[in-house]
Formats: sequence, C-alpha cells, structure tokens
Amino acid sequence: MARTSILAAMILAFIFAPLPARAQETVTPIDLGLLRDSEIAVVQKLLYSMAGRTEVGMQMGLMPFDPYTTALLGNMTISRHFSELLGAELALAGGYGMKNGHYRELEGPTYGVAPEAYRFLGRMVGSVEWTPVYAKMNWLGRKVFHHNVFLLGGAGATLEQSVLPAADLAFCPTLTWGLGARIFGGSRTSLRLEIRDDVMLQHRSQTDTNAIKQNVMLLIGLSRLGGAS
Amino acid sequence: MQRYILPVLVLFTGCNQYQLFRVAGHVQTSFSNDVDILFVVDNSPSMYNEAGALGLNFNTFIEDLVAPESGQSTVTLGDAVDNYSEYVTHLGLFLDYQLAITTTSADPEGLIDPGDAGTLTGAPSIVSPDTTDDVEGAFRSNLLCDTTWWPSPCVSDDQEDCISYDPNYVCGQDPGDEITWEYLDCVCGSNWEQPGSGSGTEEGLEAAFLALCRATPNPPAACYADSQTGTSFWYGDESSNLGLLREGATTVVVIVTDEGDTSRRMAQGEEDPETYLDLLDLFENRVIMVVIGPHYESDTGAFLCAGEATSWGARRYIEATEATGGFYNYIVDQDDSGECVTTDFAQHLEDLGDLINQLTNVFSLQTLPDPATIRVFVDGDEVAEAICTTTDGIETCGDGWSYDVSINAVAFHGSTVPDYNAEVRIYYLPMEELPRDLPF
Repeated sequence: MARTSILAAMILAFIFAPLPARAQETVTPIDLGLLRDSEIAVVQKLLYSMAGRTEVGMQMGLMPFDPYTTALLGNMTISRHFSELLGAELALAGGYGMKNGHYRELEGPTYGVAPEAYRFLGRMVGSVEWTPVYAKMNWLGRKVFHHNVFLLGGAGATLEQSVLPAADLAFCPTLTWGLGARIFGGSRTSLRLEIRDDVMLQHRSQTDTNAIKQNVMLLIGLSRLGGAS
Repeated sequence: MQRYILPVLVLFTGCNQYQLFRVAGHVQTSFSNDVDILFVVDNSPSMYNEAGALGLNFNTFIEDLVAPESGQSTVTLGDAVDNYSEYVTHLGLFLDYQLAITTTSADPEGLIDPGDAGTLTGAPSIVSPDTTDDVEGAFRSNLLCDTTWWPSPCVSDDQEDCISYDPNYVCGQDPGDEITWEYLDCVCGSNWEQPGSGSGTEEGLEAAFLALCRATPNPPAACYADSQTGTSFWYGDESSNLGLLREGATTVVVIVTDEGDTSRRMAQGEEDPETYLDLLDLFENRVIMVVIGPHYESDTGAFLCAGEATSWGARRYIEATEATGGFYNYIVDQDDSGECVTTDFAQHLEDLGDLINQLTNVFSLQTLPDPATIRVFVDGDEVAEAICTTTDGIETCGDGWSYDVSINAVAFHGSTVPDYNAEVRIYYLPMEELPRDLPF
C-alpha cells in the first residue's frame, strides 16, 4: 500500500508541478481603459488549440497495483474536442494480466492458497474530457513545452478472466475516471500521460459473488490531432 | 489543492479483495510410484510400550501393502498399460515402498548413536522388498533391537515398568500383546546389546529434517550446524542416509511419540510449524506427515493422558499433518475406567497402509471444504463430479471425482484416476479460517 501511495503521489506531483508556471505573457502596455480582475479570463495564449479537432492516440499501459496480478495493455483512443475545455473520448484497450510473485508464492505448497483473482483482458469506455489547464513549462531554461492537464469521467465495460483454472469470464460494467496531461510536440502531435481508475462491478462465478474491483492503470503514448490548429 | 490529494490517493489505491481458495493436489511425479516411509520414533524411556505395540502390530501394515496377489511388474510403462485394470482396482500393489527408522533425539551429547540427529537405526537401515524377503522381520528387528530402549527385567509379578520373562516362549510363536525378554532374544539374537535411551527433548520435526538432509549428497544450506540452530549436521554427513530419498518418490514421515514437538528452530509455545514445512519444501520430494501423538483434541482443547506433553507441541504436529495431507492419531486414550492405555497400533498401521494405498487416487484436503465449491483439474482440464450410487450399503461411482467427508479427501474413480506425471489441482473454499497466516 505504501509503495502504491508513493507512486500515485509522484505522478500527481509531476502533473501538478507546472501549475505555478502559468506564464504571464509580457506585452507592451496598451491603454484599454480600466479592467477589473474578474474581467480577465484568459492569461495564456493557446499556441496549440484543440477546439473542433479530432485526436487519435495509442498508449501502452501497466496495471501494477492489484495485489495478485500485473497487467500489460495497449490502449487506443479517439477523441473529439468540441471546445478547448470539453471533448468526448472513446477508448478501447486490450491486454493480459499475469499472476505476480505474491500469487505464485501463495499457491505453492507452503500456503496452498489460490485467490479468486481476475486478470484484465480488455475494456471499452466512453468518457467526457475536461481540460481546464493549459500551461507552459520551461525546461532547464532552454526549452519551453506547452501542455495541458485534463480530467476524464465516463462509463463502459471491462472483460476479465479468472486466473483459477476454470478461467471463467466476467463482463463488468465499469465507471472510469482519470487524470492526464498532454505535452505538445507540435500542432499535431503530443505525448500523452494518463492515470486511469476503472471501478467495476464484477461477478465471480466460482464463488457466485459480486465484488467491486478497481483497475488502476498508468498509460503513456502518443496522440495525433487532426485538422488545423 | 492539497486537501484534494488525499481523497484522490485513496480512490487510486483501494485494495482489491478476493476470496481465497485452498489448493490441494500435486504432480504424480514418477512412473515408479515409489514411497519412502521414514519412522521417527520417540526412544525416550516412557515410550517402550508404544514401540513394542508398533513392532508387534507391524504385520498389519505390511499385509495392507503386500496382498496375496501381489507381484505385478511395474518396470516399464507397458507393464502399467497391460495391468491397467489391476492398477485401478489395486493401487497398493503397484507401490514400491521402503522403510527406515530414526528417533526424535536430535540433541546428542558427545558421540552420535544410531538414531540420533537423523541417523538411521539397524542394518540394513533401509528395508524394502528389494533388499530382503522378510520386510516385516527386518523392520521389527530394527525397531525393537536397535531403536527402542527397554527397562530392566521384572523381579516380581506386580512390578510396573519392566519386561517380563516367559521361559515357555518358543521363537516363531505369536507373542500376543506383550514383549518378553525371550521374544526379544528371538527377534534380536541371544547376544544382542540393547540401545540406550533417547533424549527427553523430543524433536520429531528436526529429526525428520536432519534424516532427509543426510539422504542427499547436496543438502540445503539450512541443514548445516551453526551457532543458532545448534543442530548436529556437519560437513561430511552428506549422503550418510543415501537411498532414503529416491528421485520422484513420495516421502511419508511417521512420527511416533507421547510428547509434543519441541524442535529447536522454533520458539517454545509456537504452534504453527511453518518453519519446518518450509524446510521440508527444500527437498524435491513430496513429504506427507503422519503423527501418532499425544491425545490433544484440537476442536475442544481437551488433553487426555497428557503426561509432560504440551498442547502447543501437539498442535504443531496436528497442523503439520493437516498441511501435508497426512493424519494425526492419538497414541493413548482413556479406557472405561478412566485409565490411560496405549491405543490400537494395528489401527494406526492400517490407517497408514490406507493412506499409502490411496496416494494415487485419493487426495486429502487440508481443511474442511464447502463441498459445493470443489473443482478438480487434472493437467489443466476440469474433471466432472462422479455420480455415485449406494446399493446394499456399498457405494459405487462412475467416472469422475467424489468428496469423502469421512476422510476429508477427494477420490478419483474409473477412467479419471490421474495417470503418472499428471498434475492434480483441487480448489475449494474452506469452511474454516485458513490455518496459517499469509504473508500478503
């Protein structure tokens, strides 16, 4: 649990660290009359606009937080950005969860125990994307990266399989939310980092029980924006 | 912002919870179907009656393994194919067994006598149908003449804790239930020298481990003596029990004692035998523990005829037998008048014979299962539950498996009896808590 918490904190720190760096553009003062603070809504010039554009992305992912399985996955996303703030995304992922060292030790002769764990096989979720932060980050005084931070929330379904020999399948209704960031490499390409938490209702057939399960995944990949910036 | 971080972390890191199935079964490791049986006999002065009972009743065990129609060849796979129906119906005939004895004395002072610190008693110390025509006699000789301490002769009829004379006894006669000096002379020879008594600190698990250490040329590092264990296994002791552990064999350790375990690598009072189960796992052979031990009823906590035995020492043995698929029988019981008497060793040996006979088609479960949750797999393929019918009190089952609640085991029937080298896995939800704490 401690390792998990530290890793999550590091990821959040990475994502939120640039926030104070929202740069104020230095401009030559022009007399526009008196502006109140509440009337200043935009402080950042959006060099890479997403409004009205479609984004296609591919990511690799890892689910390291389950106590008994570790899954590798590939994730494909297609997003439509209605404005700079709002968009919709469809994500399709496939992967395979393997028993980890804890599981193998438990099922050995010393303990003779086999948890009714389920391995990840795939998921399809639709999400609404809200991108409230656009910022620049100066790297070692030499390079400026434009990036944004977004939140995702949505629903879909996950396919999992029991790691017990019966290998029962489970189709799980899933709620998902996530937090991510795009680091723009140009008007069309960006490096996309994301942490997702899928919360699903899972029916486990061997014990005939229902359980809430969380799949927390770390994703990294590239995405490409179509249309003009 | 900071006030949001904690709830976010909690959401991301909630632990998934799973029900825990127990797993039983193992790989049928070899065609030879070898069973190595190691008796670990308490040779302290309080045990001569029980050792005598073991020796006198040993024919029960041998008769269980060697039926009149024995003699089926198991040299090649073809033999097994030819004798398949015989194999399915009389599995015991195909067992290739051998017997050896060590003692619970693991802390010798000075010289190590035969039976101390995992060494074997008797000559030959490993007895099998391949080495002698009279397995029963050879084992009895090793037990009574080279392992057991005997008290002094009786000088009056009402004397206790002594061995009587019976001048009328003729070698070869049935001695009945009592060991006499004449009987011992017949078994051991007239000039036999009886062994000394063993340690009063009974370390059944340590002695079993040391015996296995001595059976291999490359024992695990944990075998060797160091300042912490103070055990008596030194460089040069490797292979001193060579032949005891055969490749691919199942090893059955039978501890016979009236005391609980006080093995040195565990703290006094510690009930979970995990330390020694882990040590026994260091050997490639499957090890099954059987204990004929103190009358401690783990369900009720009742401790009858306890003597100097401790409940935690008895529980240690009980948990070891449950974890390895063996059984625990009481060595003493109270008769109708409340007096403590040695239990029927013929029954213990019959149970042992049944256990060994069933190694190939009956798989013991470590804890009581919820029968509805049992699922059985052989080489990854699920085996269906057998349909059993009872006619005139005799149960017959079709192909598949059945759960026998009387022995808490899953039995295979007909064509589903696992073949050699098959991997058998039985999954079930336990009715009780897990017997051992899990590390994760």
